[in-house]
Amino acid sequence: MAGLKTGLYLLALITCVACTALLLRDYLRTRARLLLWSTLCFVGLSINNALLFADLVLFPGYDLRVLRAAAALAGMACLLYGFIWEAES
Amino acid sequence: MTRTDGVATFLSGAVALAYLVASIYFLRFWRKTRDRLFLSFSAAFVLLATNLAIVVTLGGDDERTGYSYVLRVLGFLLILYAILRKNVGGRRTAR
Amino acid sequence: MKEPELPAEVRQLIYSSVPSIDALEVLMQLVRHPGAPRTVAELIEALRSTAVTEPVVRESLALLRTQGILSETPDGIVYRPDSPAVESAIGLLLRAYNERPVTLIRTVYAIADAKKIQAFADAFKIKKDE
Repeated sequence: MAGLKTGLYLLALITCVACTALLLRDYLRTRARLLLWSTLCFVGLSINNALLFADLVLFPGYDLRVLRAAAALAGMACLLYGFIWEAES
Repeated sequence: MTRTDGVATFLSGAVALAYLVASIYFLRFWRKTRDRLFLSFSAAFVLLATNLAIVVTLGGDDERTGYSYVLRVLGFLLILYAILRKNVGGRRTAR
Repeated sequence: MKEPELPAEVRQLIYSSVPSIDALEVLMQLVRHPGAPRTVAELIEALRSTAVTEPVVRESLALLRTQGILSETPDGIVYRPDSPAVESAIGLLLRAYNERPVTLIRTVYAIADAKKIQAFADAFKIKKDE
């Protein structure tokens, strides 16, 4: 059971890292600013997922909730900034 | 409730709202481009928002939070599914 | 208030060759005087009142050249469609410019937006097939 939960946390982390990599690759190719902010979003979500894994599996003694939420919020702030300023004319 | 609890809850609430707003933007993007990837992302972020709301509202000790995480897993599976479909949508004009 | 969309040919033309209102103005300058070659300097001067800057003019001309809409002669640039399909589409575009300018401008912006947003979705294609 613990193995399944760990696997699911890692699934989320891998998904976010994959999104980060794909968006970064296209940003470097086209320099489209929307992609820059999107990349930063998934960096934040990746950190959030890594910290979630660390919090619940690796270091159960520590409470990383504030850091986790801060990372996700920073990422989402970047995404929304990108959507508001760069997604339309 | 300690100060840390308060800050964590506040930030989590902000994140949940951000997930929701992003979801709405993704829905708008789907309407503009008809690309189903945006529809999947929109649904995924709604699931993430719902999970977060449930976990924070029930508190970490409630046993139901375990079930709520299913929503989170579904959300990320939806994102993976969207990426997969984008790459294996061979015969139909992949849009 | 739902107005009918511009013909598919025009939308396709905008998608491939008219990335902005500035680009539209450059194209209209050429199309309005078919067969009369204009130098780049003349075009820049003619467009001065529309606030289209020189780098944008050059970019737009370069794109139009690759799309087979204009060609360069020793006397300057001239509108020369390289196929009847292109000619027909440009004709419809000119008609829209004169008869339905608001719709045309809205369409140019909408297609430019769709391209920007599509860039997000396209990033997730692992193998690009242009």
